[in-house]
Parts: sequence; C-alpha cells; structure tokens
Amino acid sequence: MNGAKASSVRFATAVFVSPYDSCCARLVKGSTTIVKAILVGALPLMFAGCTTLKLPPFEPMPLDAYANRQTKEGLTIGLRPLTDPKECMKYFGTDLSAKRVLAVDVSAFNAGPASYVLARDKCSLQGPILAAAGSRVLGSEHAGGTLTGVGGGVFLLSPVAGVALFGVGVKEGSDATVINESYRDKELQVHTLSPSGAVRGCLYFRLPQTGTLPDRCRLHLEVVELKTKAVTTFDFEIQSH
Amino acid sequence: MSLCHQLPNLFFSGLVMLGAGCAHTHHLLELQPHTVGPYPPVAKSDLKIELRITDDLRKAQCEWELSGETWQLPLGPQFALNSEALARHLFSDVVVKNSADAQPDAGADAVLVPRLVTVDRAAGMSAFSESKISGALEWSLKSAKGDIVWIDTIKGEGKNKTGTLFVYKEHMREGARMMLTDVFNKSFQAMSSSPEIRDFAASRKK
Repeated sequence: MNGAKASSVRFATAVFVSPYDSCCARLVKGSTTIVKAILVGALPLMFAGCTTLKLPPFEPMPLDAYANRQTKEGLTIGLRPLTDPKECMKYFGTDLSAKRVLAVDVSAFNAGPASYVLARDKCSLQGPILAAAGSRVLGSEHAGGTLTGVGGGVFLLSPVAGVALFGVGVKEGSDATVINESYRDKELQVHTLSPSGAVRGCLYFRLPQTGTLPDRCRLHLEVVELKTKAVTTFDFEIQSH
Repeated sequence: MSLCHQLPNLFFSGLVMLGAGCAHTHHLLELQPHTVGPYPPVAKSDLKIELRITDDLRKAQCEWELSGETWQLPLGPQFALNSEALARHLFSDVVVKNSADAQPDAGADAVLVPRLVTVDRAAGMSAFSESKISGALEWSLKSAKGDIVWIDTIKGEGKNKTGTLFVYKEHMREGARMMLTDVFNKSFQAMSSSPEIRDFAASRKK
C-alpha cells in the first residue's frame, strides 16, 4: 500500500508539475499495476462529471396545489415564485436569485365558456422593483471557449492536465447551451385559453442588482376575453426572494 | 512502444486541441427544403386568409456558440415554406404577403402571421450524449378589422445523439427537421381544433 501511495504521489507530481519530458518518463516508470487499477477505476468517476447537463421539465402540479391562486369568470390562475435555490438548480441549472432574476411558475385553467388571451407582456411586477427579464440569456454564450484553448496549451506541457482542462471547457460550453435552452423553453408565451384549456410557463423578472429587496411584491396579470375584449385582472402578493 | 516515443503525436494532439479551443470559426449549416406532412385530411375553413411571412421569419436562424466556435443554422426558409403549406391545408383561400402590418386587401377575411419567438440548441457533451433543438412559433389570426381571433405559441423540439466527427453535422440537420416536424404538426392540431377559428369561419359565412 505504501508503494502504491508513493507511486500515486509521484504520478500526481509528474502530471501537474513536471516539465513535459520528465512527465512522460515518470508516467512510465511510476505506474505500478495498482496505480493503473486506481486510474482505470477513477475513469468512470471522471466521466460521470462530464455527462451532458439534464434539466427536467416542470413536474405536473394540479392548480389546487398552488397556494397562491384566484378564480374569476371561470378562469383560475395559480402561481408560485421559484425562490428556493435547490429548485432553481434542478429546473434551470443555476441559482436564479443569485443572478437577481425572479422566476414565477404560472399555471392557468379555463373552466368557463369564454376564450381568453394570456400574454406575457400583460404581466408585471409592481412595487419598488423591476423590469421584465424576458428572454434574458443566463449562461454565457462564450462559456468554455477560453478553457478549451488553455487546455490545448497545457496539454503540450502536461497531457492529463490538458485533457482535463479541455474537457472542463467543453463541459462549461455545453452546460451554457443547455441552461439557456431550458430557460427559454420554460418561459410563458402568449396563448389563447379556450374552454377547458390549460397553460403553464414561467415569468422572469430582473431584480435590482444592488440593495436589499422587499420581502413581498405584487404581481399583476391581465387576461383579455376574446369576443368582448373585456379585461380581467389578477393581482397576487408574492414572495420576491 | 514507450510513451516517450509518442511525443510527436502528443505534441500534435496538443496543437490540435489548442487550435480547436482558440480558433473562433463560423460554421454555416445549410438545410435542404423540408416539408412537414402529409397532414391528416380536414375540412378546410372557408376563409380568405392573408398569410404574412415577414423578412424576420424568412431570415431566422438558430445560432449557438460552443467551445469558441459559432454555428449558424438558417431555419427561416423552412418556417416560411411550412407556414404556407399548413395555411393552404387549413384554409380555402390563401394569399401570401411579406409585411405583417399592411392593410389587408378588400375581401380578405383575416390575416395570419407566424412569428418565430425562440429557436435554441442545447449541445450534448460528447458524441454519444443527446443534443436538442427547440423552437417556439407564435401564430396570430386577426380579423380584417384587426381584432384577435386566435393567438397561440407552439413549441417543438428535436432530440438526437450529438454524433461523431463524421456525422455530427447531419445529426444537427436531423434534429432541426425533427423540431420543424414537431412545431408544424402541433400547429396543425392547434389550428384545426380551435373553436375560436371555427366560430369565426362560421360567422363569416352568415
């Protein structure tokens, strides 16, 4: 065991510190069977962190489960601010509140005989806040580009470290595209709510970048009845962070 | 053969990786015309429709950046082609125009405008992981007077394996075709089953 430990120390030193020639030489000399076995065993663990990020769609949730809901003219709207960082990580791959974005999960069902239009631009946060975040891109479109380049450069000095950096760069870039796609895919768009029609999606609001936020704010929604053009308003008090 | 003998190969691999990471290249993926369908047969709505296909829609493209490389997939021509095909399948009389805002011609019952809201690609991490292209197309049908008859946003997606160096471009194209098929099949379902459009057509007959 001591031999194996010494070998793995030598291996790590060779990979991350030594110049190129020395690195390769030590890799050959220092690799015992045990170290090789450890390395092979570690490969699945290394690759487990390199799989594509998966962000699930929202789990189905009955309107009754929304604590914050209202019914008018047969139309029920329920909403739920997504302020829990764990939940944000699960569905968006990033902590939205840390990025000063408030996401609100909105669900609507029309049990009445009329048809309504529910549009994102008729929804607003009121109070000492904010602007609609719209289709704001969360992950950097350039993520990973630098790291892959640096990884290539480091590869010339230390192959394993270079491959690792290159992989991290590609992973970062891939994650950014998944996060952006998921963010926009979950956004509430404009819909006609026919009788017995349902719709669900997220509204995004950009919070002020500095200063303390109020605990609660008011979310205002307007729906338009298609035939009469009558506007029905819904106002909710919600937690803002 | 010892690792030391592989030095030239390792050095070359390093240079390739360095190049892949640093070189900011643009890739344009052309997509052959892809017509979704055939759609299930339906009784056409007896309406004279002006279909407004704007330049914004015709020029739409999916663009993404990964590891310093920019990819562009022009999808506008496909959306334009399929919007017209779907409109002709659903309505008895269709005239195609470019502007979204112009006054409709005399005799037109309604104006149908498709608008691309989003189109995104989530890139898989490796050749064997899944990539996804998603798109959202907003349809609005307004009466000749400008009142909204029906409006909806239809989302679609195409998922497949990212693919190896030899096939990944074709996989990207295939993902885009799947997304288009999904968007237009769902659009067909939404429009053909809309009670608002059915009621409007009935009111124009009277």
